[in-house]
Amino acid sequence: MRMKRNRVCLKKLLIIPVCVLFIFSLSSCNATGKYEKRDIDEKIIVHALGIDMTKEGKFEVTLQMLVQQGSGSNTPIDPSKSNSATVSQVAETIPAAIEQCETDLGKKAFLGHSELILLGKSVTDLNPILDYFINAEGISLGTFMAYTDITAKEILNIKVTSGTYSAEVLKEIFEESQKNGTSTECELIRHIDNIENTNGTTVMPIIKKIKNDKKSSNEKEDASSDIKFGETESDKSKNKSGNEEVGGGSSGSESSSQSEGGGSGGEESGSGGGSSEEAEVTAFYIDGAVIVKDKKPKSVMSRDEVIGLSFLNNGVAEQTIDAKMGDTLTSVSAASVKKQTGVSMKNDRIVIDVNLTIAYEFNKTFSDKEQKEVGQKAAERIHSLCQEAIDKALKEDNADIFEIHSLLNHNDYSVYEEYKKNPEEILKRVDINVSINPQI
Amino acid sequence: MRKISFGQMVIILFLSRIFYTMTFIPFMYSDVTCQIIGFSICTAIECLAVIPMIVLYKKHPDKNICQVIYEKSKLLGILTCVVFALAAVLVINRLFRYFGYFVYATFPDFLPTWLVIGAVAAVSFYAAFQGIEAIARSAGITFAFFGLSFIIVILALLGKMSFSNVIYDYPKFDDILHEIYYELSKFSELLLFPILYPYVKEKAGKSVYGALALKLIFVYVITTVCVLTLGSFLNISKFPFFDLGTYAETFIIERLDAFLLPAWILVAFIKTSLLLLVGKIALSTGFKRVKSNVFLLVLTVAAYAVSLPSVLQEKWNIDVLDKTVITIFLIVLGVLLPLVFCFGKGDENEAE
Repeated sequence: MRMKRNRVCLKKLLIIPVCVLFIFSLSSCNATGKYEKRDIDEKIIVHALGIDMTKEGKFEVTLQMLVQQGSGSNTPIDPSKSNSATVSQVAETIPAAIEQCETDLGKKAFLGHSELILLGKSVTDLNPILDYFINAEGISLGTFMAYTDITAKEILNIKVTSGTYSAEVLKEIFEESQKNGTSTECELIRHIDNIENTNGTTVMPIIKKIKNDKKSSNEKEDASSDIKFGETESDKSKNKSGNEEVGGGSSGSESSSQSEGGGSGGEESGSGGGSSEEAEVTAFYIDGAVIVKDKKPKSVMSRDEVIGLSFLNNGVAEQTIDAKMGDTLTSVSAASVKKQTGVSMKNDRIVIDVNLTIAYEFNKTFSDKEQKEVGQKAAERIHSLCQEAIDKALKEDNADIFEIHSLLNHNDYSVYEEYKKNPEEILKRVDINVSINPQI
Repeated sequence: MRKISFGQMVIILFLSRIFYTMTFIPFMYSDVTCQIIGFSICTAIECLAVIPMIVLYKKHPDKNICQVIYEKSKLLGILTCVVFALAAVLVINRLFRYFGYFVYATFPDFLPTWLVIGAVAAVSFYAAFQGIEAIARSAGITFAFFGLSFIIVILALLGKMSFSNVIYDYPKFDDILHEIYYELSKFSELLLFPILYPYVKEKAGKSVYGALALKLIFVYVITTVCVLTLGSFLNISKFPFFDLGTYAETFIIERLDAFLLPAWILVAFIKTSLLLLVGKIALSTGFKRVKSNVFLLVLTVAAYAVSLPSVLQEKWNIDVLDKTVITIFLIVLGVLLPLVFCFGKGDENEAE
């Protein structure tokens, strides 16, 4: 009796999901006007967005999207070829530029799978950009946001043949750099969070492309050398592309270009497809970071300063530190283990004591005494890196990229209230003392 | 009369409240510190506010509040039944607007909002037509799905939580008062329990406290996860609970909002069907000659028709209605009426 009742009830229950599915299927039949039904092939799956500013103060938006290059492959996506293409448009606002890209392609852009938002060197104000992405439909909070020392368009036009699509490789480069501390945290949500808490301060890594002259990674340019963020370079980047143009599509717009990844892959804008194997595989690297203050790029941190900052923010999984023993240079692997902070007031100064426990792994066999000595040298090196970061960000730029707001909020609320009213004044009174506790 | 168990009642009451936490303030007023203090104080008030309902249940375990009043005064009984139905329609109207806003903000180009809430109304009508047992079983499945998807999202977010994301403000008295007031307007148990308690096999009184305890735990956990993960983004997010899903990722799946989405739809459907059922039971108590399913159809159409203008005009938040009017209805129907009618002699088969 009871089983029969249960069966009847189960039948009733089954009807409910069937009803839900049926009615929602009916909803999707409404295929006209605003809600026109679009198949997956009628959408552009955007993997990376690039934003540059033109001299006229307009936005040049570049969308890097997935295109299937499956000929000769068993699967629709051939990982041995570049599966990405780009489209660019210029407009007064970001949504208008994206809309123009959509018009050119005759497809709707889907930003839900975007992995990277790249800001060109010419971007001077993050306000409209953040406003757009905070409200953008479906964009993931974990999307990476970074600067480049050239135009975003140039970076996105580089075709990478390793991986399924270019943005995937770019993301992997960021992830790996974050692990070794050469890149700061760059998720969209972390930038928004920092900017909300600090009246517009955050720090964004800089991605650079390896030049065509086969420079090795050891010969990369120094981050701080002659880079001035805020300069428009749209004219430089225009017509640089050596890729195949697949459609004019300007349709009255001021600037428009589309390029599609070539078959052999590895071509870079301007290279004409003749770049070396080395350039094909390691086309990008992270070098330095931009300090953003009042939502505007203020200055550039060098690679060493960024590593120091990563140690201070307890974000290094593994970084090779050089230590000199007598005349020989050796190296150890260092990783952040624990960070202890204390806030105290001394006279008028706010003193933040940071005690970092760093674990070492030695790449060579040492005696106990030598291990201690190398450890000590490495600790000194890390201390100097941290100090460089503090000098640059706090002393020079008066920028809160060390989570000072959070420390004050948790330790001294009255100072935090002052900080909220006038962060500049409070930051001038902050001293950060770093001590390293090596764990061998 | 088919009855549901104590656990099913707890889940029903819990899900009817958690919908608002999932929506979690598309119209956020104060910071999270005030919200959590306001919520805690309001829960304490709610524990006291349900006492008259429980006393009424102890005295009349087999009669809902409408039946109790109807037996004492036919006119007052009919009036109470109509007011209960009206309150149910108003709460559904609020739910449809909030759910519509979610669909509008998240999938603006996929589905017309009026059609989506129409679909929810139609399915809820069918579930209410099947009765309390079918809704309770669906609620059990929904609760399991909700719990599982939430646990998966939390696990995926563990690495992204940081205590440094917590920034608190000293709470302001006015903001706390506002939160208490706002929280009270979400207290759907006051509307559901006085009508539904005769359908519970045992320990109906304790089920309200069970639901309150479950709500307390889940809201604290959700708020803590949101604060630790989203940080100050919480203050500008439209749907913090949903944003947890968009931020969570695993090695296999890049974003987990798809896990939370079905839970959201199912919770909205459960709450709507419960409110339709409450309206139907109330009206059929007052107007015995009319078939109860006619009332159900009328209520569904009425709730949809009332919501449609707001949805079409994209008026998602109607402050006076959502806070003042609904709160007054809830307090009158869930606290004052049981308080008045809980005195006097009870039925012979008084609940233990």
